[in-house]
Amino acid sequence: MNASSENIQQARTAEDLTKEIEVARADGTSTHAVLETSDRVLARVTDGIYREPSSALRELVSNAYDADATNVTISTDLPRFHRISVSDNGAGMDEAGVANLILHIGGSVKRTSAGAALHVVNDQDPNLSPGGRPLIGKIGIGLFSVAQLTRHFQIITKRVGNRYRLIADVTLHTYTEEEVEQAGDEETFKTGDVEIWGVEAEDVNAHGTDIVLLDLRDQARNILRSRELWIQLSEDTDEVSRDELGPAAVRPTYHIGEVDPETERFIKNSAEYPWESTDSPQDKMQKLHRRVLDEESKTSNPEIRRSLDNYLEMIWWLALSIPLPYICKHPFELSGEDGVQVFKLGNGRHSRAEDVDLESEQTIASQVSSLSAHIRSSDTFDVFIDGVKLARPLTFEGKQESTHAIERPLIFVGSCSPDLTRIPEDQRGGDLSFDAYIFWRPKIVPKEHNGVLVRIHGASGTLFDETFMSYQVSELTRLRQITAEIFVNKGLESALNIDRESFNYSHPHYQILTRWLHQALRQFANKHKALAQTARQRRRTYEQERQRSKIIERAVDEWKHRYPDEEFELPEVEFVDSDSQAESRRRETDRIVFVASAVLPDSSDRSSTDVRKEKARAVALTLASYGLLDNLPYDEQQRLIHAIIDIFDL
Amino acid sequence: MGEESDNDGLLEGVYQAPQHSSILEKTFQSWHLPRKHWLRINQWCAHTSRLVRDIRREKDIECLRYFSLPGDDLLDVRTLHGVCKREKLPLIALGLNSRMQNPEVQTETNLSLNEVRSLDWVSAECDVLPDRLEHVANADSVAFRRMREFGPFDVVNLDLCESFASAEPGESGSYYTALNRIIDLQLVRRCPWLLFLTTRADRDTVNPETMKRLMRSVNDNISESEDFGIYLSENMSISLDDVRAAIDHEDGWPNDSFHSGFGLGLAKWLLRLGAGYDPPIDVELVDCSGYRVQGGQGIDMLSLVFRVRAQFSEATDSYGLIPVDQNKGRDSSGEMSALGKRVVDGIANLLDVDRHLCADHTVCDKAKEQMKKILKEARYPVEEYDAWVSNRQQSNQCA
Repeated sequence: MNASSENIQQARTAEDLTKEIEVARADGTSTHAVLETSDRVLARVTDGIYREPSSALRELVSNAYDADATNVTISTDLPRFHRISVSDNGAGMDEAGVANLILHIGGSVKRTSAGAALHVVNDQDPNLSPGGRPLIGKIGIGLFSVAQLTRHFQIITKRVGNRYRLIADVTLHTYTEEEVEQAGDEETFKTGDVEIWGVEAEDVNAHGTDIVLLDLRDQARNILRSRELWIQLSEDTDEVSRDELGPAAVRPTYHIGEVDPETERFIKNSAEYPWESTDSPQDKMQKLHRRVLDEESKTSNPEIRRSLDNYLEMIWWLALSIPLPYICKHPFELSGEDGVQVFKLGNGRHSRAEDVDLESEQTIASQVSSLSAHIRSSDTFDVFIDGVKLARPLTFEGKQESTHAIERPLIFVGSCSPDLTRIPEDQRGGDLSFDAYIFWRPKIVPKEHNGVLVRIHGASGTLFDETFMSYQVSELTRLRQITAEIFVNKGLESALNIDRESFNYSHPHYQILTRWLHQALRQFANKHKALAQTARQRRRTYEQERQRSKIIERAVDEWKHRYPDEEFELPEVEFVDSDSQAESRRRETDRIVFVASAVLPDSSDRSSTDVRKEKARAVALTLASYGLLDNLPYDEQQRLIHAIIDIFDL
Repeated sequence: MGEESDNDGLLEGVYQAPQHSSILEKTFQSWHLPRKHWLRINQWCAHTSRLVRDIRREKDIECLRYFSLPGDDLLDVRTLHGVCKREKLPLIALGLNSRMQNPEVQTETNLSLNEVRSLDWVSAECDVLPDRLEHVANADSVAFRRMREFGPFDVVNLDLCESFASAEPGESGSYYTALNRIIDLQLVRRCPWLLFLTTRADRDTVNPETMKRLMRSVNDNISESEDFGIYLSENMSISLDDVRAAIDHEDGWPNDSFHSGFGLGLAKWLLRLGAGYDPPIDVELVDCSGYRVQGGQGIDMLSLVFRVRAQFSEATDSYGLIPVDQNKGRDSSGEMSALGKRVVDGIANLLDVDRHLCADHTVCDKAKEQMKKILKEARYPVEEYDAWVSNRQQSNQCA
């Protein structure tokens, strides 16, 4: 069966189910449907494929984004975690939409013409939502993503203008490997059951979808409750040898407390939130971020996993992975006032990073015009979880408490839209276009923000890759000081694996992106080395100046001690190159004059010669203060000072 | 421990078979009668409107925080939305409903939450927890912790089906301790707040020992203030000896006005309890209505509205640099007495809602239509509503 005939077959089936739901709604009864797939891969993923609960929530929020929602509210019954609901005010679904979702529960019709008929994509461009947003979802396992959290969930949905809501109660089936292996080629796999009802709605203008996850799996619940951690912490208080248990569990600084698993009703350990309950949703996110950064005052290398429990950590990662504004400002909106040094990355193999000078009110985007296109500031997308308004917990502060030679953070920005027209279309993988930044500061806080994060249309399941896409050059220290993001505006989606948390490394887009990043890192490293060298030189000069002035100040103090009434003027000490010059200067002035080579021991280091010259000057002045040079011939004076400097040099 | 039980531990929670939930069949209940909706509008909404306007005179208000014990249809939230819409004020509601443990009730609550969150002035943050009010009595309970995260509240609505006073005095995990915990949570509020308390008020549902203690609070007031005793006796047509008798004998208060005695005792107990908090709170009875749920002649249900305000003390400048504001400061004896008299006024003039609606068909019909509108929003078969109401009215005379 080719792709188009398969689509027709699916469309027909969805049509049948649509009619059944319509009839059942009119009769006040429910429709039952069996979830099936002919895909062995999908049959295997009905038990979930993610490592973290946040992944499933990320997928649900992404669906809401694609449905043009402007508000998504995630409510959990924390700290119990039996139930999680994700409510959005997006377009919602009618019978056809629900039928399609049910029949393709393990995939997506987004970016297809079928998607346009179901109002899930734009009429003009199937890559956009009906409201014009670049779609996030395409690759992925659709609603099967919730399987990580539960095998029972409800979809409550309504489209504007409809006088009814639809409710689908879905239970998922678990497939064993044996069942999948033993099935024949033509066999379909039952992946679940669904009951669908329609109920009357008076609020004709309401629209949106709630996904209510019920009866959360024990495993998911225990992760969200940080159960393992609390068990370890309680064991640590017992008299058990530390050697038997391994490294001690660390109580995170901020946590939601521990619910008593026996009663499910009482709190065993009280919560320690990073915010006050009366704080606004925005302030809660700000404080969560700030408190983690503040951990730097307690530990040299703050980590999210040590600062936050699993639930708060989930909030953090969720905020990083979905299309949201930054907690303060987008890195391309940094201005001259923000105290960050800006450089523009080139796209050529031998390009060098160029300085970008910003006036106080100029932003990076205003000076590097290619970057501004993807900042969709007018697009509202608010996501709340249990009263916290999510925002990307990344800031790019200019101030830094550090002894590093480079005193200000650096940001390297670039963009790339490679011309792929000469590549045959079937190998091209579509167009590719992206913007990026590399942000450097002496220490990245929290530690987990070190790496490169790739966003496709604002969303990322991969989070920070600390290998920088397997960058092999030995730049370990420098790489540990980088946070980077790549904003992909076009392409790369087909390089995502179905969990959307990893890439297919062999995809041409991924290879191009990798190459670009590695070139950018080289540009960064070269510039950084040069800046560091200049800064070190500047610092050394400054230090020497400081040292020299301290040496001479000491000798002056001694002169003043000897002649407190200023009856004698402080003599000047001069160094010349030859005996004849010395003789002539002694005749012309009342200065103390020495031949430099006679006083100073040999040295190839010019900077140390400067310091030693200052020391010789100070020694001469001090000896003169006590009149010890007066009775010595000039060559003896020079020899004496040479001997003193030489002794201190040894 | 045998191997079998060890295995049980390993397997626990791993193999969970998901069960489908179904939709709850919608049947009318006593809280769907017009009188209850009349109270929702004329008590709850009216006082909430007044509170919002009063707070706005003092400060800006960003949202209305509301705590209640809603049914799975969230009728209270749907009704209160009318106030929020008029006042252009988002409503953030937190509810407790222990029936949510039932999967059908859970589904119905999910659906109702979806509906109310779609209303213009209801926040998406609204939530219902599957807990009982009594759980709040324990400061370590999940329910109380969640309340603390949502609160403090502008309105606390304890709409009980049973009696607030059914437990023995001193019983842990009772409504008394839960209310105490809630008040404690509310003490940080500088603005007034409302406490709606709906409770059974018949002799069969009120704990006799508790009733005696409530009467003692009345008697203590009489002992402290002769005026109060006279005022009570005159306005409630009861002798002071009868009040004293009620302290000693569980059937001391006359049967036909037991609800009044209970209401009086409850309001006085709250008033005196309020004085003990830090800061002390004024608990003013601002509305008192009653009706019948058991079909008897006497009122057996009270619907009370208290307006509560913490009394933060003003700094006293003993050096007299700050001029003394004669209108400020709290004359506790006088004010207590005024609040006490208001309790008597409220109980003595208690509105019999059943009779009120029976006497005025226009009012009753209006309440019925308003109820139907809300019920329709909550997907009840409203075409059957009139017949159901008539049937109830015939069996209860007045409903």
